[in-house]
Amino acid sequence: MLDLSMVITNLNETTEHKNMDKFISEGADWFTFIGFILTILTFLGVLFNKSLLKKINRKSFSINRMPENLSDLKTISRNVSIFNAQFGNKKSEILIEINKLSPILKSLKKSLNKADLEHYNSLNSEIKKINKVYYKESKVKRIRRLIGNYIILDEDFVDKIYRLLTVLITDIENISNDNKQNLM
Amino acid sequence: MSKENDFILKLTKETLRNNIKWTDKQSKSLVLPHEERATSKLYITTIDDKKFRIYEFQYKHYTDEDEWLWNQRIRLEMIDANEEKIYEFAYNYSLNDLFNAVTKSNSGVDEFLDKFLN
Repeated sequence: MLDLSMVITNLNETTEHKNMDKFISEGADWFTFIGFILTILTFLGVLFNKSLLKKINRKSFSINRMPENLSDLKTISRNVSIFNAQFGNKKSEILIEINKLSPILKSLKKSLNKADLEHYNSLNSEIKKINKVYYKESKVKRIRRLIGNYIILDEDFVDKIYRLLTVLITDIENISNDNKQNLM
Repeated sequence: MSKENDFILKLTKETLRNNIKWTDKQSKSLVLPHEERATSKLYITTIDDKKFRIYEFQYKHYTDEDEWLWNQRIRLEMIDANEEKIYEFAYNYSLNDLFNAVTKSNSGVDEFLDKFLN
């Protein structure tokens, strides 16, 4: 009689252990699942914050740096237009002015949205050629002269840069006006 | 690039080379729409029997229904013998460089500086 009651007690304990194990195991599965979902949500949150941060940075650049960039571009435009009228005597001055554009464009890019990059890209791709532009033949490095990888500055090239530059400035003036509107 | 931009570029170069001369007059007689007002003299030149006028003006840039900022722009127009507008060139920043070339040329500042510094 005693033995039978002990067996029944042992059986009950074993069943309770099994239930407990199952409960713990299922709980662990659920926590793993919740952890996985939280990881995905955190990852999405990081991505969202990153894009938000980019937008805030762009806005900050367009408020703080764009006016300065615009003013610099206007000065270069004015100088190029003056020197270009005396092209024959002012080739080196023109090259210096065009060379100033590269860092300004790099800074300006941080203020512009993808949709505003059309004229920026046109000017930037012309400016990239500037490393192989020389204002006279004697200034061309020997290796470049041997492989013919150089351009001698001519009025057409300067006119093209000037046109692209003034179109970009017109764009930025309009964007700046829109920004003033958005800030109100 | 448009022909108008090419024209503005050529006009700027020829003005700076003193090949195109501009006359100037007060802007008081000029009536502009939409509360615009001229902020410079009116500069006029004739090329191949066509008259052109350039000037700086102020306009209201609305930021809200009843809030605005004053903005400045340059306007280039073709005008008739009575100085009535026939055509207005689309705005492009190069108009500012043309305007600077015209005012510099008409002010005689270069001749003054050459004389004063020598």
